[in-house]
Amino acid sequence: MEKIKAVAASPGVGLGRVVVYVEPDLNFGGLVYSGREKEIARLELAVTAFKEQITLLAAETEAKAGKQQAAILTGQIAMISDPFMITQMEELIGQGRTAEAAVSEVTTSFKEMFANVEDEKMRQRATDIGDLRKRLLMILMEVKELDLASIGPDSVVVGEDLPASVITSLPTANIQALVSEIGGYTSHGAIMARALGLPLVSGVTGLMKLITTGDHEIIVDGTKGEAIVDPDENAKTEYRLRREAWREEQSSLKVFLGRQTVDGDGVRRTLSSNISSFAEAKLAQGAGADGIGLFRTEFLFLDRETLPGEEEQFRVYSEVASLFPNSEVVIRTLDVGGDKEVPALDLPKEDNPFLGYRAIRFCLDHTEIFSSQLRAILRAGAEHGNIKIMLPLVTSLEEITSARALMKQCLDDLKRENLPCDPAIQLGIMVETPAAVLLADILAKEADFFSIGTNDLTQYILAADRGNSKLGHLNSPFHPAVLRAIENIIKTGRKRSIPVSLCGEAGADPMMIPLLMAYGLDKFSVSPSSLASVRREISTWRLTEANSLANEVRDFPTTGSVKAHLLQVIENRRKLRTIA
Amino acid sequence: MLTENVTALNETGVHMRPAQILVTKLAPLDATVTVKHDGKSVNAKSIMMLMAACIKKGHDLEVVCEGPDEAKAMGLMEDFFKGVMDEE
Repeated sequence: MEKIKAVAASPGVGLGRVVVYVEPDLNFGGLVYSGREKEIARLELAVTAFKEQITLLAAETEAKAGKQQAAILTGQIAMISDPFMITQMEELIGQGRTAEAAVSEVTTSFKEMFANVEDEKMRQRATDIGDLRKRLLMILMEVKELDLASIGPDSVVVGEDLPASVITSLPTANIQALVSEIGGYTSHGAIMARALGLPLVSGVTGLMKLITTGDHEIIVDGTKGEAIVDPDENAKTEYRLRREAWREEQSSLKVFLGRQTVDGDGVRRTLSSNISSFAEAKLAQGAGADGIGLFRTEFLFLDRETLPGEEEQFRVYSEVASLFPNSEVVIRTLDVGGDKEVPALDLPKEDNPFLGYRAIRFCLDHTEIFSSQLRAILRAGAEHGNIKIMLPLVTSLEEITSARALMKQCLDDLKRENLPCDPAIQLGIMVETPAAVLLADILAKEADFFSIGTNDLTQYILAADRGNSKLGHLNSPFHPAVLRAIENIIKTGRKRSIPVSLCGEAGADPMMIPLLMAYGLDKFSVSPSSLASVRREISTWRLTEANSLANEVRDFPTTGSVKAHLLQVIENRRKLRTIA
Repeated sequence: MLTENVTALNETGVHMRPAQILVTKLAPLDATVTVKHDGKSVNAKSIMMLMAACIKKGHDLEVVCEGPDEAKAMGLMEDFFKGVMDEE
């Protein structure tokens, strides 16, 4: 038995058989040429198999992630149907290359050709051709990527890296949990795991060495951040108890899915969701979110070699907006830099990335990228008029006025081009820097709404890097300074008559919820997997109760004293409810 | 050899589906078909080359067809750039 402590990346517990996910090895250097005829026949078979595979996958993808994602796949069938490309491959085979080498060389040269064209939209085809190359080689070399869809019941998928694309392809019902060697709480994969409700422990160094051979069982506690390889009977018993508690909790939450959010007084409250993809937007819709409070668009830009263009963004934003025709969808403009690297932008490393060249600072300097995003958003807003734009990391009034001027220019251009757009779109800001908190009354004159980003706000107010595990005790939104900042922003928003929402992780914390209600927050926005628990929590609080709790802790001097008091009150209320 | 100057009328440029339709129709013809645009020439019997040429509405192009089926090929090319196959 081996117990490993690592990052609690997605809550929940699971026990199962280990299924190892490995990136396929596509090194064909050692393969032997089997003659022209045979190699060409192999190529033909591979192309046929490719078309069948993609047709199936496209149908599945359309059902899971929408038409746009499926079209990317069917486009690959058109590409492989290019007789010129096949002829080139056959010519190389004629010169003594294996089918693998021919496929690799020809697709790579096409990929480079597309990567260098001026048209932004065409440039994106490079990524598709890279994908096509990988699939064709896998078929030729009979390299089986672990057939994710056929993973059996009670499995725990373990891998060096588990990218979001892999996690979305898993048969969720059969998966107990996930473990990965690399990645952290905010990695793309972790966000997807939380969205799908799969427990994940990541950052488990040395994991793959432990499980290289034979059959293993593993316990994964994504709430605590713990994995136990080859657990003994005691550990399993303890696990079963924990799993029971977790399951009970989950099933008691089921009744809070897909219904309206109402507080203890019976007053309707707005509870929206934070997402970064169409797949998550679907989950949020299913759980009954009142629209999207934060669409993190940077995830459209990560994990790829070229930037998404206006058209691609337009389609994604439109698809998400169409899921919520009667509520708001707040799209945050590109928030890159800091911990989010974008290979396609090739930004230089900085000594202090969180205090560096990122988010709105980067966008205002790169108006070509920023305009294409603004145009895509303005166009997507035309259909339902339900989209709002939100700027990240604002520290000064000029940032809002500059962005607004650029937005105005985009609107004028779109009108001239006769493209439908939403001229009345609202432009708001994230309040996540101390500067924005202190200037809230001034910023409120230019911003149509505020959204509090507690993750960054906490680290900036407390000067404590949120990724530094030695500072974990400092980095709390319950620090009195952070609570005061949150209350001030909300009060300022009320005074200036602009709505204030909160879209940080803290909004899902049962101890924070009554405080936010008391401060007068207009809208909660949490991850799709937290919607039900937050809805339940809100339903238990009457405004007078929340107010008196907020008054009790208002002058508490330390994080410790605030949390201790909130915890005690909440525990007592739970006990009372259980008795009742 | 036939040479024609045509203007691309395809509403949103050359797309994958219409390119695939064109190339399928050109494939059985005994003729080389070249599109010259912006100083580059591309083989029109290739979906990928057609797309990578980034042809947009309003671009002026030179189409060259050569071989026994050149007239038929030219007819298809003219239809293509009129946007006829965009609808199919």
